[in-house]
Amino acid sequence: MKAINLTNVHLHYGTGHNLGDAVLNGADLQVAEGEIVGLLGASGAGKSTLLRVIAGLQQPSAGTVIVAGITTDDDGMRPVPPHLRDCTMVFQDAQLFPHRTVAANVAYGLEAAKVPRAQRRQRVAQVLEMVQISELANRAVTALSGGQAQRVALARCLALNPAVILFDEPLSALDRGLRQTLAVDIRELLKQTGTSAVYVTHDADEATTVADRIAVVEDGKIVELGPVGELDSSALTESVTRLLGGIGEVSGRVTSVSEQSTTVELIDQHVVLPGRHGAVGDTVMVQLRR
Amino acid sequence: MTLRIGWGAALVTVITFLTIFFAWPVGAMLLRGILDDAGALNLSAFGEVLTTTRTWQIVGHTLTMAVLGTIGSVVFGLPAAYILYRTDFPGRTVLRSITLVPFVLPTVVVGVAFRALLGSNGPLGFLGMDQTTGAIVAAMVFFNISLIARQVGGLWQMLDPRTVEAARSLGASRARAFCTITLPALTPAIGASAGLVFLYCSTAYSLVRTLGSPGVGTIETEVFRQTQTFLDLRTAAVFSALQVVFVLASVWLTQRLSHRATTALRLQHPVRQPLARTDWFPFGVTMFAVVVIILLPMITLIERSLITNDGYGLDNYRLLVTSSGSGFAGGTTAAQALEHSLKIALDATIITLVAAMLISLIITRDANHPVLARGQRFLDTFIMLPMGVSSVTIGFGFLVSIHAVNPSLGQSGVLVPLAQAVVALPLVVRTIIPVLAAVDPKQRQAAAVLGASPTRILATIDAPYLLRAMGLAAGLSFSVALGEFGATSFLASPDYQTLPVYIVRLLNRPGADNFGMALAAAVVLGIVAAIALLIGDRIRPRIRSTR
Repeated sequence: MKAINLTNVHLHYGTGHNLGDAVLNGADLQVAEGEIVGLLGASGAGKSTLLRVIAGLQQPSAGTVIVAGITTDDDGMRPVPPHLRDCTMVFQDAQLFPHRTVAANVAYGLEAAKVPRAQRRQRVAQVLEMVQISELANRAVTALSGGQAQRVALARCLALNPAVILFDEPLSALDRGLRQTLAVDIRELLKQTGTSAVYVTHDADEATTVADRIAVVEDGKIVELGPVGELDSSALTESVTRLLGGIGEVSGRVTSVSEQSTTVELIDQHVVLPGRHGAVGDTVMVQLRR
Repeated sequence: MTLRIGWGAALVTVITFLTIFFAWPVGAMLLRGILDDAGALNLSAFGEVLTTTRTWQIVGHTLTMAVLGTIGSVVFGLPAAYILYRTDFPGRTVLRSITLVPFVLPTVVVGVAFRALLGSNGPLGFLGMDQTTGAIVAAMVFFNISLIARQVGGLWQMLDPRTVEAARSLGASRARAFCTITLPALTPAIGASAGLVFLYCSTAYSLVRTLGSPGVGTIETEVFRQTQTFLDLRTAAVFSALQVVFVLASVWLTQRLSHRATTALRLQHPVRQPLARTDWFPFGVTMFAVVVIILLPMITLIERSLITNDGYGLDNYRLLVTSSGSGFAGGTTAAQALEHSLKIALDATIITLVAAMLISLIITRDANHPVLARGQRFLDTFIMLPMGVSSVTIGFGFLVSIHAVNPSLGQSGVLVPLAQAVVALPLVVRTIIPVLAAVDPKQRQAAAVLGASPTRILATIDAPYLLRAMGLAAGLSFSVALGEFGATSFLASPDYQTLPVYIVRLLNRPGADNFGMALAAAVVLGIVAAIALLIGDRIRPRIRSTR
């Protein structure tokens, strides 16, 4: 069974004859159970909107959305409300509830699910332990650093043991070093719990760190890029190439070689590498960095 | 689904309430002016009223007082804005607290205080301003200095001082820098707050009544005079309609002025500079405003209320319990009137809170449908109207609608708290909405994806914020209802009077005893209203997390 299955999802603002701009324009996305998909895209491409449609916070104009086996049908007329979907979300700015402590934030979903008090307490402690912030349990959330807040936000989702967790640029406000550490931790926790995830970010490094597979949102459609280990660069359009300038390995054809340098043609641009690598006409793998 | 029914029910309740207790009275009032007794369209009443010289004298008088009151408030309010919000010196917070006093006091109390101050025995009696237009303007300034100072000062303290420094370094004198840099930046705030002050000044019915309705009176006092003295409801209705036009014009003007962009301003965190020697002029003006215009009337009121035939004592206060004032047939004492006031204000508070809570919740919902969004904007504007049409219109409207259909309701005293609730509603909604609007819609979404149903979201996300606003809203509506005079003066039955109505009656009867009692009663009313507000402000339920 697929954790998420979007088929031909359209969404445009405006009603009636005035259809307005299409934000999603026939998006398809499949996420297998336990799989983490990294979703890249320029700002305004519709990444966040896609997440909101999956979560049920926004209704598509057309298309089928199946989340953890629950279907919202074609026209979006009978939407399944967000609280009945087995799917939670980590927001960009954490969105912790300021009037509740850390532990009470983590307990929130469990209360809604009417989990008995004793079990609730146990689960909260367990999850806080998992995300390594047990010592913050009784802290006010207003006193947390950005990284701690996102750990609480993740714990709040994990506590429910959901089939899917959606991440909406969760680390974009943090500095680079912290981002790397947290990205590694997030992947580990998702794998450990077998949770499926869609991870939206604009940072290609972060996406490759967390995800099993990368996709790009472009013009309201989803372009599959394939597993992180074997990204097929020939399928990329120019804008995606720019976007993914820093992603892993890309194959290219060597066009000239000297003792000092090697020129490699990648898609439609040339890159000069220091030192000698293979011979003219060879296909080499190049590790790209931003 | 049940929730959708819940919202539907809330919306129907709110609309029904506003229709019966606002739209109908105002509509009935307007109809009364354009229909004759047989119910046929007849605009002769308008013609008669509008061709009378006296009418235009009244309009002119109303306009003059409102304009003078506005100018006076700006003249004193601007220096106060600078001194209280832009500079720092020992005692600044004390001065600022004093300027909050007018926000707390019922208008009748202030009216009485100015009578005590300017009366022939008062400390400023030599000015000969008692019961003159000048006295009313002074009282208007008393009320509105703080409003101007707060609104303009709030913006002023955020202006980047480097802009002025740049102008000075380019050769501009202090005055030139102020006129060319600071003043243009403040203009939108000055315009908006002055518009609001003009609105308050043109609806200052209770002040005018307390200060003896000098000259031809105002449009509002004329509505009262035509209703109570001549029993001419048609003429009163025409004046009431004039009043609505007057007020709508000033509301429109305020809106226009406050929509002027402030975006080009460089704003930053509040800056305060130590008071400099060059600040002597604004400082002097501010001190005059605080000490002479605000503090002196208050002190005089208290001091005069304690005067007896032989020195100081509590005689006047004793009379509040024992006497119903000399020259009155009715037996109501001030203490009884206070008791009525408290009961009525409590009823009005409950009605206001329920209505305000529903309205605020409806207005702040995330509207995911354009029709819904338009409905919200409509309600948002509509709810401000009672503030616009003045309490006199509401009181008179109640009289010619609900009271006319069922006079026994008027006798039973149900109408007074309802009318007071309608008067207090816009203010209270305006205190609750910012609190609810401060809840990021994403908080509700975060709760929803964590499995909280819409009902649970309401209870766990909105409710804590709502409760926080409730204390202040309750204090505000209680204090407004307690001091309400405009609508109440039309509706309170003679044997069930409220304290403000009772005080004005005492003032208008000759006799030293009556005057002394009015002073003492005003002190009591002021203290009770202030306490209500302060308690409301303090009651902010500590939000404990439930785990």
